[in-house]
Amino acid sequence: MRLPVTPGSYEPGSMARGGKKQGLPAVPRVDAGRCTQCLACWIFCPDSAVVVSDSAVGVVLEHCKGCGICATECPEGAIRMEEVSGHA
Amino acid sequence: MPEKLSLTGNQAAAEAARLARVELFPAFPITPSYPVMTSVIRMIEDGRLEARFIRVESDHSALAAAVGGSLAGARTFSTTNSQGLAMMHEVLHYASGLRLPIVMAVVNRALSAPHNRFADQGDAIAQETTGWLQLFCESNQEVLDTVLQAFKIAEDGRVLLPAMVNYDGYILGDTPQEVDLPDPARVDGFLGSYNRAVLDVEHPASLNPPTGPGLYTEFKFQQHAAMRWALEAVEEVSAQYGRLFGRDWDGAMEGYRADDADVLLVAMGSMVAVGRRAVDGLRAAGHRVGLLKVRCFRPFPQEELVRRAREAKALAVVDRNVVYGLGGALYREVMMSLAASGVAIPVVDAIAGLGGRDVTAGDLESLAHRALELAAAGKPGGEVMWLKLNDDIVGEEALPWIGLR
Repeated sequence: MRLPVTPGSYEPGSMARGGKKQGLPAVPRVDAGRCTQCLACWIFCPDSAVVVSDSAVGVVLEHCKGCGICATECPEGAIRMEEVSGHA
Repeated sequence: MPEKLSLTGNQAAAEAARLARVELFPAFPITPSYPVMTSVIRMIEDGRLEARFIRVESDHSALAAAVGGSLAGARTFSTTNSQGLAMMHEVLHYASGLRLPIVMAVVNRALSAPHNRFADQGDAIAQETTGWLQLFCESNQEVLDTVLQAFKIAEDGRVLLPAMVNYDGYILGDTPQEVDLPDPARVDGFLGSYNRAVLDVEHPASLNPPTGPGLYTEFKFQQHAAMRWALEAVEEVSAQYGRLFGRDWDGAMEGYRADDADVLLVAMGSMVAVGRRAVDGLRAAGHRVGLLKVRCFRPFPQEELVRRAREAKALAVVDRNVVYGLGGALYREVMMSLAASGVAIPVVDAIAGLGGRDVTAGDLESLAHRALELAAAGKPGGEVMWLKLNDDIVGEEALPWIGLR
């Protein structure tokens, strides 16, 4: 990978493909069994990366920047931040 | 057809912006750079320049608008000075970090406090680590030529950095001189059009993303490398401009009667013109004194300075700025360059012309005489003097430091 001249993410999905390369520490994982669909995560997510289906909430990693606000705000403890393996 | 006009430095900067066909001009008025703004606006109103002027509520916003326009691919120009430049400080880093070739006329004026509106290069020196190229001009013709060159250098694919074109407020800014306007078609041929839209609706991007310890250093190194390329681009563009328009300003540094000199004055900005007269006077009196004119302060032409100073017996630096507790910024660059190359000669620095105080050829002759004394003594090292400091009115608590080297 070579860096661009102007710092920027020029393609979506960089989080899902390589959190390590982007310098991002962790991605959210949702435990569907504990999720009550209260949608606190949906409200708090600053990048609208949380999507809601009939069964459970999910996170679109293309839009997620790994801030962890969802995991902090979830009242059920259903979201944990999983470290991207190998991140320095 | 070439055209000669009587133009102030501010008008010359505006004419250069017109010849460069700038597309975007966000600016906020401040003395003494506001005539650049009014001149460019009049050109847009008259239809002589097809550009968008953005009226903003502050200098900070002016540069923010410039950043947005440059990201969208517009050739972007602005102007400011002193407090306005200081207010832009935060955004200066965005412009360089995002690698945007914005060109700005900086009409050097003293910073408050105390309030002062006159010529002083401390405003530019305070921004020396913002990643902008900093070019300094001696005459209004050089202002026009340097604005055109600055676009060419800044837009060079190896460089892609913003550039400040500096000239002293009032002394050049508001004083008319004869300026030769190059032929617009030839300027078009020299400059070409700017075509680097980072923002593209077909290819959306998230710019200036949070960048952690894993990548920040690499982006900063890229800026450092671009600055190194800039020094090469300054020389190439200056030579190319000279071939096309008959005026070669000698790239990053010019020598005046410097080749066989025992003592070299080192100066930048309008002070260089005074230095030339001092050199002529000293030569007429039989002293081998020359001058080095620093056109490019950032990046600093360290190797060229050492090459030109190697044969001299002493240097006399003139600084229209002060790095408190140390001396002048130009003095610091000179001392560092010499030390890095193992050149051991005496250097005297004069803090001179702060806040618009007049500096005459006689003043610089006396400075050169001090350097000749040091050359005769042959003892390497540096000393800083405050030219024409009035000892009689300096406060009691500062008195113990007068005359200490």
